[in-house]
Amino acid sequence: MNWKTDLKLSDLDLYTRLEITCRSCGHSRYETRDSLSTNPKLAQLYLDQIEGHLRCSKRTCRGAVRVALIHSSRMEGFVGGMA
Amino acid sequence: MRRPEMIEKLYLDFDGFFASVEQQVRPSLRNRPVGVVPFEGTEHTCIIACSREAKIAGVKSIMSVREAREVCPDIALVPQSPDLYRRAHNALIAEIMAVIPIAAIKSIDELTCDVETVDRLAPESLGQRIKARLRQHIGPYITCSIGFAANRQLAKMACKSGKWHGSAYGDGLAIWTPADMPGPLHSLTLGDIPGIGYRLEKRLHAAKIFTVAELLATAPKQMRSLWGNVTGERLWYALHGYDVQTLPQGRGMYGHGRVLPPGHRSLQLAQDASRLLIVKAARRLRREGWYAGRLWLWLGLREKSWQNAITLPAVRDDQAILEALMALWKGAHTDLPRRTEVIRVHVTLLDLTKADERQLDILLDDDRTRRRWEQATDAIDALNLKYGATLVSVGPWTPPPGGYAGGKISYTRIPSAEDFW
Repeated sequence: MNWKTDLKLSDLDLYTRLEITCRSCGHSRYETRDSLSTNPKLAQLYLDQIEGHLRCSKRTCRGAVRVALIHSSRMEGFVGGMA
Repeated sequence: MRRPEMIEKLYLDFDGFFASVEQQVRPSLRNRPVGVVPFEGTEHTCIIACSREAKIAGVKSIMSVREAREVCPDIALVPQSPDLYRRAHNALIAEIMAVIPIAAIKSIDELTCDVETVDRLAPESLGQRIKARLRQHIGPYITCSIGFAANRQLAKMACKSGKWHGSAYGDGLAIWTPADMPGPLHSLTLGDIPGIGYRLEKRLHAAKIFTVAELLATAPKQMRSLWGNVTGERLWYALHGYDVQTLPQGRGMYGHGRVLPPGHRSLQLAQDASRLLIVKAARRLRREGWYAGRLWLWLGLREKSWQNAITLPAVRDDQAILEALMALWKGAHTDLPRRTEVIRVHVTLLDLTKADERQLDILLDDDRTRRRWEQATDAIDALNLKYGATLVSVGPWTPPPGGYAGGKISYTRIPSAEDFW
């Protein structure tokens, strides 16, 4: 149980970036909700289920992966030290 | 300007973030004083983060390793792992967002949220829900302190003031309701207010302002004049509980810097390091759809520094940027003695324009060439993205020792996995 069990792929914005990192070799790649939704099997799944379906894209590895959301668009620096 | 009558903002700050992530991941470090250092193998560096046990023992961030060992002889020093902190940040943010929407991420370990009407009467329960979620889904060693107040600035100050409770540190929860204000501010010093640094404090002292009570008694325009800009006036309103916050600033530059390890400080090796750093900065520039109009190179030497900048015709491709960098280095080789030791190198792309606002140089007929190089650079980026590594680059690719080049965590940037390729 974690945030991935609460979120469906279809809950995300169309261009939300997901970082997919291999748990074995550390290779990472990026997908968007849009690109993952092209696979009809994934479109209605929760993110933990999607994590279980995806595999490392390195041909020699094919290991299990970890899915993470990228939140850089919410970044807002301090201005003059003020929050 | 509106002056909220209830709590409206939450500010969350993780306690000794890098060190607590290390403790969560490595059981051998738990319940021990831990200091995170930039790299292994040297005593001539400083602690960039420390665990709650180290803080209780008197260690502070930015303390030199020698000083930290004097204060806390059994401190465990671990080299930083930026990629691990980045991944922890992503997971923590996702868990917090399952409880409350995040209004802004202020840095890798700080964020702020708008408190919904239903939670304004019981902020403590909201704070406990967030903490419980993190404990359950991430682990008990990464703790956070939370502050609630009428605006972001006061919430941040509440959060900071709640970190220490007696001799214990961390896992704090402080609630400053508008009705309580300005009472909690009176126990603070000027230096406790975010935005008041050493130089500003000296300026306030010169104006005969020594305490927070004296600062609160000023007028908004007086604060503006003391600060020399609008931030002073904004801070006045924030301290008096008004709903004021700074506007997000636009992107002004892309750059990277690096302290070179001993043995890698010759002009040639510094040049190689700067080449890699500028390519990484250029990748970020392209990812976010910008063109650069100027390149700046800065070298930190033993006693002095050397710097120079070059104007670019609004470019984003690696060939143009690297050619400009080499022109700058040619000047450095001419100006500096051959055996110069370069300790730090910084490269920055400035004068940014968005792709749809780009103006071509009418005296430089290179549009066709630039377009071809842009296509080549895009193809290189696509290949690297596909294979998740720097598979192809324009010219040699020689990462400096120590790793993480271009993956530094700063206040305004949390690197992505791509930055480590």
